[in-house]
Amino acid sequence: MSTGEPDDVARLRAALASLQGDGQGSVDAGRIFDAVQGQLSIAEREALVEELLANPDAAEAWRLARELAPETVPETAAEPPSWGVSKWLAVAAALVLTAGVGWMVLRPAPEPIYRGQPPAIASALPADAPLPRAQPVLRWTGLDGGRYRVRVLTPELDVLEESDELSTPQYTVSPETLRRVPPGGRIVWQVTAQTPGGAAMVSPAFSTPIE
Amino acid sequence: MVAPLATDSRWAALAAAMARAVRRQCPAWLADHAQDIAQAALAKVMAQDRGGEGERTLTSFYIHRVAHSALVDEIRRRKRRPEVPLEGMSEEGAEARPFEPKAAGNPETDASFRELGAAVRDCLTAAKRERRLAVTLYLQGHTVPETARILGWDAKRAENLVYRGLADLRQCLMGKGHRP
Repeated sequence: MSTGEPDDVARLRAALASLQGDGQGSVDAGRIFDAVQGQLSIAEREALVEELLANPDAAEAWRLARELAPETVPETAAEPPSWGVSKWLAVAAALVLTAGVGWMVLRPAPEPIYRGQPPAIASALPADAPLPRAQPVLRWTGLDGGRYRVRVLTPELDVLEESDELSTPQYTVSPETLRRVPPGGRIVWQVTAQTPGGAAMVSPAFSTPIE
Repeated sequence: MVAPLATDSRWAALAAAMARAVRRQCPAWLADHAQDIAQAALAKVMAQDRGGEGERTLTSFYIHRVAHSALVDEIRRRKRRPEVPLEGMSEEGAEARPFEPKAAGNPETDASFRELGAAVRDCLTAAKRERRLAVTLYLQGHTVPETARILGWDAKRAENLVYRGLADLRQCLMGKGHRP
């Protein structure tokens, strides 16, 4: 269902994610990490899932756990070896002051690979400039060998049109869609990219005024 | 203060492992702050030790867990800060932010999302428990196999519950005047 999921699922996901907490609530991100990694009992995981609807901060932390955490993290690993904490952390507390220097010494020589690279898809349109009706081309930052689908929506999030699969990072909005948008009105658009390796990447939703 | 060689070496190994765990999870838009986050994560390890959790074995899983908590804290802190506009960050194209369902700060669009989101929440809250669990995870972005794994179900059961739960949700939303 992840690849052939119903058309409305992305919209429902985005709508649910738009519920913002006050950001002040206490969220146990470590426990949520445990649940997503399958480290808690089933009953404990269910209880956390139940909390997601009532607590947008917890839901946000859950999404971050899903999006950021490695798919699998071994319970134990050869690297690093296990340590006992209490025997030596008192000394480590003093050394933390020099951790910044230590970082520079200890960091691996190659460029670090951060999760999320290559860069996210970004709009390549001039910021907040109206899209000309004579040349209504949406553009975004491309990925090497990427293929794209574009969804164009009203500000009320009704789908106006969806593209076929595209091999270049641009899409011309149809005249039918333009006729449905009043002068000065806006469209919302979002790109889903498929990399040559099969990974999917979804852009933020961009809001663009129409001339 | 001079640390004994063995302890110094262990500390260096922990610091390096924590740095790797942070880098492995850090979104690119936050990469410039990975060092600070790794230090915050190390401070968490020490704070938990002082909290009396005793002789803890620092496994790779534990280090990733603490690194993740520090990252989430930092991301949430930045989202609370009004001087960091999310839409500005996404337009600059230099980061791979997890998908944010924002339409470049358009108030009307945000309001529409929130209104629909509140209706989704209300419908799911009133749904049958197993369907609610299944659809909640599915709408958090999990696939059906992931949903099955987290809830300890087999894939077929998870698929059925997601399918039926989504059908219920659409019907409920229609009843509230929303087109799913």
